[in-house]
Amino acid sequence: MTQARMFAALAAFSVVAAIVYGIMSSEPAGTTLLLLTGGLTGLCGAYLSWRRPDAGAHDESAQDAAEHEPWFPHASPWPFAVAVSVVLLGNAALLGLWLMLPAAVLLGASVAGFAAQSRHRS
Amino acid sequence: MDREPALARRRWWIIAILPVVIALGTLAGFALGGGGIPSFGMPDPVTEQGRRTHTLWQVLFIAAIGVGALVWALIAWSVLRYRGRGDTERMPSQKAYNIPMEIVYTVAPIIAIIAIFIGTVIVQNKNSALSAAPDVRIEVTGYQWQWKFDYPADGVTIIGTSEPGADPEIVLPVDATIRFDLKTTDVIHSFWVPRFLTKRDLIPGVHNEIDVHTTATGTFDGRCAEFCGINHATMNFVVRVVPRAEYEQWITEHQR
Amino acid sequence: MTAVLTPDAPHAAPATGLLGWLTTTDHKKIGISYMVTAFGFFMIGGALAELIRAQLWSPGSTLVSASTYNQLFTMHGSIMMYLFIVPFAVGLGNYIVPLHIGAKEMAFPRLNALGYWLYLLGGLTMISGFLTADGAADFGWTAYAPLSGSSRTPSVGADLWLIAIVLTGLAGVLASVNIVATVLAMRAPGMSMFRMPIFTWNMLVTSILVLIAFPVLTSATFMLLADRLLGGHIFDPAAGGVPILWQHLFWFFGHPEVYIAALPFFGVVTEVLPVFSKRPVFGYVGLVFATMFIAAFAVGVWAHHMFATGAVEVAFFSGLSFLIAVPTGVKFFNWIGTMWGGNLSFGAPMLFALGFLVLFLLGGLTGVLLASVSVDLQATDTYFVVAHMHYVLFGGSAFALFAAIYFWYPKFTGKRLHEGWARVHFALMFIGFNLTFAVQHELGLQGMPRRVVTYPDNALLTNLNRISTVGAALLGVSTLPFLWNVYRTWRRGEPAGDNPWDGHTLEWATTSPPPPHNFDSLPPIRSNRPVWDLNHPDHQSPQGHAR
Repeated sequence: MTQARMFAALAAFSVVAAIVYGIMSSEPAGTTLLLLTGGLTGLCGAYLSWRRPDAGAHDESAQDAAEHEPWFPHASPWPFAVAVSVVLLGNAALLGLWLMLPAAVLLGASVAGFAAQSRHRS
Repeated sequence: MDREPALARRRWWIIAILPVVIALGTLAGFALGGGGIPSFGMPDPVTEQGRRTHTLWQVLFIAAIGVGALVWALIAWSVLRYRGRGDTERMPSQKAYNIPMEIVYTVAPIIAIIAIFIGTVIVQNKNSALSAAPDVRIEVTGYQWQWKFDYPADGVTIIGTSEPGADPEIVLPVDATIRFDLKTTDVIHSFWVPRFLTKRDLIPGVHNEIDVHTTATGTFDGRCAEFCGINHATMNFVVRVVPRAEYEQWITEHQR
Repeated sequence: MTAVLTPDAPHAAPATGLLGWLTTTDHKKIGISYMVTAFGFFMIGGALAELIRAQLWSPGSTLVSASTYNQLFTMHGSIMMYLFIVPFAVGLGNYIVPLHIGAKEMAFPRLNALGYWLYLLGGLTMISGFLTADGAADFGWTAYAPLSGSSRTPSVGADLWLIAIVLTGLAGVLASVNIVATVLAMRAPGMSMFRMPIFTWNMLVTSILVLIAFPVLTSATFMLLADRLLGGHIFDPAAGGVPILWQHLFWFFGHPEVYIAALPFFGVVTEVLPVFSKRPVFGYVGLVFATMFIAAFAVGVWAHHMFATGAVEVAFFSGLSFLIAVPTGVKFFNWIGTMWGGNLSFGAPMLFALGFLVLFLLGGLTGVLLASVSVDLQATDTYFVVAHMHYVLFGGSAFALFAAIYFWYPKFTGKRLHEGWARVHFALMFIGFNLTFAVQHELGLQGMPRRVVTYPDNALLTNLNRISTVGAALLGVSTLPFLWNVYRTWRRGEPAGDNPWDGHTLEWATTSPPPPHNFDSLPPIRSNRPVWDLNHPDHQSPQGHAR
């Protein structure tokens, strides 16, 4: 598939660049970053090569087919709630650790709500 | 529409040749060494290394003018020649590719940049080479927000103060190789004399060295060129290049 | 045969007003939110720039203190890079990509919304530094260590800035995951990868670059926060830390970042030029591969920002930096090839796209000059680089951004912006921009470093700075006709219809604005311009191939 090849090409380039750069410079940070980039793109490329094409489920039961139908929630308060919790958690580093616990609790509750909405497809 | 194929064939020859001409011209420029070509905004260098950079700049600038003129001309031609004259129904050619042309304008730039890359590597290797025996060594220490210059062989130290208008001045002999040892212990600074056409950072934990071979006398401004905090803009110094005898006299006057 | 898309089963009436906005998962509404918020940050960043230029009117000016000035340029750069140009592109991508591929929504609608809120709240966190006692971050948008350490910059504004980087970085990553997944999984039947519009290709490649680059910045930011807040010494030279490590990490992000800021807008230009030339995209496959090469090289050139450190392998970075000019050049020739032989009309989107071509070329050429190490050692960290970056980011990306606004505004709102006011906008912006930034090349070469609150008292520097300041004032004024145009159109704009420009791609096959599920039906997709094929059956693209 085109997408898998795209990621694979990027991965190959990054690994070759890492080797050339490492030999030329012996500089550890850049070499590591290029290798990790190869790893990231390689991981994506590998997944896309082995992924089964979604060519329509022939043998699925109606119930399975319904569950595999993509579902697009129309509205949700959870993204805003998660975002506020994360921002509070981040700012807690500055405003005071007393904020960290409530922010973490709020984050947990928001993520739970997010997940529950997925499960119930509401 | 019948005119298109013939025109297109003639056109791509021109497009093909010009970048090759630019590449060859670039190489010829290196060979001939610049001559009386304008500086295109680069200051007049006062070091040997600066002279090489200046010539490289001139060659690259000419190549850039060539490429820029070509592409701007093509854009202008498209806009003028193919502008609609109210005939919104005229359907132009829908040809969406031209493989030979696409190959040409991929390969020709590669050739051009190989030429300028070679020039770049040659100049940079020469400029960053360090002499085995520099005539003068100066230890440059940058700190928030001034400079300290030590001439260890002669026991001279110049320290900048935060007096406005009283930038520290160092004196160098002309026609000599000067080694600058660049050190700092607080934040990153950068040693820049615009007339040397080069700069080098001062980084805590890193010992940077550059050589310049002075070729002209005069008084030249020096600046810090890496943002280092509140008074970065006034962290300036002055370099004065003088004949050897005058330099020796200055050394004697300033010895501790 | 057309594909008929069934809208979703009816559901409860969506909330309106503030609650509706807070809970929306519609990629179109989220896209508009991103773009409007980004434009708001643009105005703030622009105001800071006007103050900078006002301070530089005269040497020794005391309009603002050095401390304030350092916050001004730091926050100007930070807002423009982190809060304006990239988020605007994300918003544009969010709106347009599903339409371009014939999808009814992004793959992860709630993730999309989450990204937007993190961006908005993160951006507010960053600028909240101005409200603190010691002011906002003041160490440049690049935050070099050791200056950005807690002993040299103890202000809480710096910490707010760093936390904001984490938040907005997370937003970027989420948005990119969404775009990649959407493009991979949600293309309509017949929409093969090589029939996608180039804008969508560019958004895909940009998103992959974000996934590669943003986590590196986030990691570096956590490391710096560890130094500042938890007693770490990663970048502290006095305790054996390595300041230059910050630069490697930052620029490994930072260079892909500038391509992230450019590629979406290359895509915009590639959408506008064919429509206003009545021609197909020229060299489509070449453009796709050029974009991929640009992305690959972008990951390998980071230390061309570090030549002056004396601590990097210059040949590797110089060579790759020169090489990256080649695919960019290919794109230029393909853009010209798109116009060549065409029937050109000069509506507002086309004016700004042409402005992009003219100005980005200059910025690209100065970039090639900077790739030459010895030249860079004179020009780096001076106003030469400031000129270069503004030619590519403003003359390039921002001009194309306005092309995008004028082009897609009818689709977003159902109304047409006024052409006359658009021309005034373009003329003032083009003249103001060049007046501001052309002279800065010379300022840099002649000795003016970056990030300086003042400069020595000599005629050359003073005169060039004054020309630049006058240009900046004109540039600021040029936004006014645009804002007036938007306001006036909102009150009494002419209806646009589905396809006011005779556009080629799928977004023009639906109403303006599109219904919530985007398409009631899709035309057949047999080439990279299905709507053109539908409307011009006698001049269709070659059918049935991947091309």
